[in-house]
Amino acid sequence: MNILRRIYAFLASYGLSVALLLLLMALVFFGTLEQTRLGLYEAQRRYFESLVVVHPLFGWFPLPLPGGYLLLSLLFVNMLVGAIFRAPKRWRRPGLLIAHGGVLYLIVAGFVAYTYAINGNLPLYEGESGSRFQSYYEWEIRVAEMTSDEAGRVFIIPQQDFEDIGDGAGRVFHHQMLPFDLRVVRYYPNSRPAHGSGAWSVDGLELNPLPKERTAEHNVPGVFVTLHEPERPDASAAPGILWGMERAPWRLLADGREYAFSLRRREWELPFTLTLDKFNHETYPGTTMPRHFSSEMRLEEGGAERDVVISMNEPLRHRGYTFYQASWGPTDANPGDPLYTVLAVTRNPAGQWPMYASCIISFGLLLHFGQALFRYLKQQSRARQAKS
Amino acid sequence: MRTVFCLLLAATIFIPGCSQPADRVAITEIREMNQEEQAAMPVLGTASRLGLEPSGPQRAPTPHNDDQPLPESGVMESAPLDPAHLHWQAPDGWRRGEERPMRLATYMPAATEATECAVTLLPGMAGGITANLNRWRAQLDLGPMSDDDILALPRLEMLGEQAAYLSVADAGGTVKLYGVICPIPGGLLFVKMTGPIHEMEPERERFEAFCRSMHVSEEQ
Repeated sequence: MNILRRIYAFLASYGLSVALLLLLMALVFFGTLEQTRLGLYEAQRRYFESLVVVHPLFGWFPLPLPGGYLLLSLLFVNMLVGAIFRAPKRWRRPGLLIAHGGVLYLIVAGFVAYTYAINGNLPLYEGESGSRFQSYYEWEIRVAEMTSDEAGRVFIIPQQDFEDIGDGAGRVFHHQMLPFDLRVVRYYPNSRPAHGSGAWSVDGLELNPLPKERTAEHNVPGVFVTLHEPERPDASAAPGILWGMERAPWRLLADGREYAFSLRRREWELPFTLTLDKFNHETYPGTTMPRHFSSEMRLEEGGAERDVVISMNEPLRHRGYTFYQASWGPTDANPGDPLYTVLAVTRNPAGQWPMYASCIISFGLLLHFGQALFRYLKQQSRARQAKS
Repeated sequence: MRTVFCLLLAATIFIPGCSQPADRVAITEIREMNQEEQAAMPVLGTASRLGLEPSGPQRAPTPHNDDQPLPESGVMESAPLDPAHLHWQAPDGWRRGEERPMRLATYMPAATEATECAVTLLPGMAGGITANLNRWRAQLDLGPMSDDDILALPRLEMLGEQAAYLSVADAGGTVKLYGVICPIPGGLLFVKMTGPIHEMEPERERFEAFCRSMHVSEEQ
C-alpha cells in the first residue's frame, strides 16, 4: 500500500506538473519543426497522437520523447488528482478550482475529438446532390456483393484495421454472410503498380512501395489480399491486388456469387442530402485572391427541404455535422462554366467543448483575480483608514 | 480508495492508446449499394485495372444475366470448363471430406492424421501460376522462385497439359507440400496436398496418380 501511496503522491505532485508542461513545450517545438520534413498529417500522428516518439535531434541523434497522447493523459490525471482531489479546498475562493476544472474539460474535449471525430470533404458541382462525404487521408477496403435485382451490400474494412500489418502473415477479415475469409497480407501506405513476379504478384504485376508523401492526401495506398475458405487460412487461395487509383475493382466469383473488391477513400453516410444550387465567388479586383465565396445549398431531410448558405467563416451546423466552405473550382473556369464547391465536413461530438471550456477557464480566472483585487483594495482601504 | 481510483483512471486512459486489432477480425460495417454504384464497376483484367494497359474490352457488370462464369481477367478466351464435367479417380483408401466453399473436393488419405488434399478451380488467371506457386512456398516460409526456376520445375501430365508440379518441404523438414497448377479453359485448376512429412512421403505416388486421373467428360 505504501507503494500505491507513493505513486498517488507522484501523480499529484507539482513536480510532475512542471515536468509535463516542459515536455509538452519541447514536444510542440520539435513536432512543429518536423512538420516541414514530414508534413502536417504525419507529424501530428507521430508527435501528438502517440505514446512515445523518437525525434532525430540535429537530424541524426535519436532522442526518445513521450508522445502527446501520453503527456496529455498524464497531465489529466495529474490535474485531476493534484488540483481537484488533493489540493486544500478553499470554498470562499473557488476561482482556481473552476479554472482547473475548465482545463480538465479541455483535455477531455481533445480526447473525445481524437477518439470519435471524423473529418472529410464533400465536393459538389452546381445542380449535384450528395449524401456521403469522404476522408482526406483514410482509406477502406470494400467488398461489394454484386446483385442484379436488388440493392447489394458492401462490407467495409477501415484502414485502421489493417494499416499496422507488418511483414508477417497478415490479418484475416470475415463475416458470416461472406463465403470466404479475406486476408490482407501486405499494406503499402504509398505505392505504384509495376511489372514483377515476386511472392506478392498477381498476373505478373505487383505493388512497388514508395516513401510517404509530405502531403498525406497525395499517398496512394495498395494492398495484397488473398481469399480463402472460411477459417481455412492454409487452403488454396485466390490472390488479388487492390490499389487506391485502380480503374475498376477486382471481381471474382465465390460460392456462386460475384464480389467486387476495391480500395477507396473512406466514406461516411450523412443522414440528409445536400444539393448545390449555386456557387458564388468574388475576388479582390485585379487579383485571383478570394474575397468572398459561398455555396447556396438545399438541405433535404425526411421529405422536408430548406435553403441554406455556407460561406467563409459561416459554416452550416446540422445534426452534429459541421460544413465549412473550404475550396472551389475549377479556378481557371471561364464565365458560364459549371463550378464546384468543396465543403470540409466534420463530425465531432466535442466540437463546441473547447469554447465552453474556455468560458469556464475565463470565468474561474476572472473570479480568482477579481477576488484577489477586491481583497487588495480592501486591505488598502483599511490601511488608509488606520493611518487617518 | 482515492489511490486505487487514481490508478484505475490512469489505466482507463492509457489502454485505448495501446490497443491493436487481433489477427482475425470480424467485419462490422456494412453499407447498402444501389444499381448505379454497381454499374460504375466495370470488369477489367489486372493490368487494365491497375492502369498499366489500356482499358480494353469490358464486360457487363451484372453477372447474373450472363450464362458464363466470370473470368478474373475479364476477357473470355474460350468456353470455360464446367466444374461438373471434371472427373477423377480417388486413390484407394482416400476418404472424401465435407463440402467446402471454393473447393471442388477434399480428400484425407487413410492412415494419416493431418494430411489433406484439396482440389480447387478458380476462374481467370487467379493471380497467375508463378504467384500461386510462390505463395505456396511462402506458406512454408520459403523464398520465391524466379521464372527460370519455375520453368525448370518437373511437369505432371494432366488434362492434356504439362502442369507445373511443386514438391517442397519447409526448412525444418516437418511439413511437406505437393502442388500442381493446371491451366484449363477459363481458369486454373489447383491440386494441393499438405501434411507432416512422414505422412506425405508414402502418399506421393498416389497424389500423382490422382492428378493424372483427372479428365473432362460431359457425363455427370
